[in-house]
Amino acid sequence: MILSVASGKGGTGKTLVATGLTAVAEPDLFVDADVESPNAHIFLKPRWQSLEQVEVAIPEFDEEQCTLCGDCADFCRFQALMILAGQRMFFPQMCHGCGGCQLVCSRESITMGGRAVGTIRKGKCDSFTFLDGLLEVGEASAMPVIRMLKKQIAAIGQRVIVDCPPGTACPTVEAIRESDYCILVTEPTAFGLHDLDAMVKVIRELNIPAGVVINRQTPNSQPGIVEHYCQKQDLPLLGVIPFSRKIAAGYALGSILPEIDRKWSLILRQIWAKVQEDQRVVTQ
Amino acid sequence: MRQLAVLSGKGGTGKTTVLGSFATLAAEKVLVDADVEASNLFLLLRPSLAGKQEFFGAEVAEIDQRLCRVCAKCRRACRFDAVVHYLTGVKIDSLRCEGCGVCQLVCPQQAISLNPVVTGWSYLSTTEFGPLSHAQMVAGSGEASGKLVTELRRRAEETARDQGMNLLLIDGPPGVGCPVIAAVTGVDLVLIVTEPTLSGLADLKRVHQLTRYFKIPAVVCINKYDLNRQTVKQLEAFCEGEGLKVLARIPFDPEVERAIAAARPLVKVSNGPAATAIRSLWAKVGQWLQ
Repeated sequence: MILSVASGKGGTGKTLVATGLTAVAEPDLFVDADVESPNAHIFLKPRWQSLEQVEVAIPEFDEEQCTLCGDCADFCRFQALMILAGQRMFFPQMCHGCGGCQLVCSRESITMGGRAVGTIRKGKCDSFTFLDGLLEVGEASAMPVIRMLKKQIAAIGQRVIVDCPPGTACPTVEAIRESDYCILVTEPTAFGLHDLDAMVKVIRELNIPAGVVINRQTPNSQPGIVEHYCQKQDLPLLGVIPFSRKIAAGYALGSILPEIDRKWSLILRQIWAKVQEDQRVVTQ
Repeated sequence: MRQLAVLSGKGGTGKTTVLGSFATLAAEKVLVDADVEASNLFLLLRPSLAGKQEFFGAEVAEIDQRLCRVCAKCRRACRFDAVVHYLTGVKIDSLRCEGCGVCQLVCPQQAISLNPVVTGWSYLSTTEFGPLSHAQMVAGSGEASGKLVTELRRRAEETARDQGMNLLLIDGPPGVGCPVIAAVTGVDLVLIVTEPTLSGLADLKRVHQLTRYFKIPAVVCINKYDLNRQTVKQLEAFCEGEGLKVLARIPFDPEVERAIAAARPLVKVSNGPAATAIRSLWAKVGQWLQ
């Protein structure tokens, strides 16, 4: 089973919940797919085993064969190639690595080489494998790194937890696709609710069953704001984590929830039990 | 024209809370909500929506099934796993399609077209604190998020010139990828809002690396700073080591939550410690911008 943890809004507690669940869900693989700002390793402290570069294809030009005809530049839809003042200009960071330039070149002067855009890191925690990705700072697209992470999931894990990026665009979509269930972590504020709604549209489009965890509930929180939304959307409420300075301070130092206080294992167990129950219901 | 972008690396550190208050403190300016995937600034500023425009941020391939012979050349040529081969034919997965046109190129039946798609809507709205350039993005859209941010800035800059204003305040997204890059290129100053957690420090390092990469001056404010003394020290040591000025330390303050619940900028409804720190932060940032 692949369980993804997402939110829409940043900072709601995805990593808090995802890393906490490792203590009760007995995963064999944990994946931190937030490759722009991965943090899960701070909490799960894997013993690093290997590093693999993620490459995207880029064109390499044979100057002898190239006649500057410009067919490649005409084809390129990403403004990565230009012929200007009798010179060919290539902008690697605009390039998507589609290989189209190579296909249109009538002189066979283009071969596809590779360009490093990030790294996949693999490690071992006590009872599960840990994988994360790191996008090279300055690179625009997290997609190649996340795609590489996804390919490794199939090879390694049966019971997988995926900590997803914030936002609702393609990196998040790629991270949650093909998961069997998605936990949406939100905070009981208008901000959290607005972004939860955007995520719900995504999981509906992807047809992934989902449930909601409310984090940082306080007496000042607008009562029922999220519960009401869940009811209307027919989304199960999996659990509520109250705001606690103790959690905040423990999280600040890199402790997972059950380490901060054993009582939090109970909430995590309840969340995990509800996920399993809901997933069974949905797949029937 | 001077432009300030507020970033964090890590989500949830307080960018929108800080910028929402800056919006009320700064004089003549245009506001930009560049967090197009999860835009929250409008919730504080309550705009009258205006200037709605469709944004075509991407092209997506489409196979004309009447012409398709299911040779699957497109699937073999596609480097993004965006062509799906199912029992009776092939189809484009629009969420994965990057609009490169290779499938169209290789299709022997010329059955594939590339069509512009609406990936969001941009608005130029009015608020009691000035014009707000913001957007609603179609969830799941690709790097159209970076392009949409660029469009929002373009509209904001145009408005500023039209109305004789000299300042753009940009609420940035979390992360370091394309919408963040689009939010910061060409700005005069980045304010990094961070928090005293190990995660916050890790992401501060990443976003600082980004500002270095694009050669943009950056300053820091530490939000919820009294959360954890140990990590505050680590944060401050990092900043000092990098020559990053810490302009403010905003204490954790329950009035912030109340202000968010009331959907109002903090400094409008509070004179508490956080509001005071933000007012003083704005005064300093204002100096840096000159």
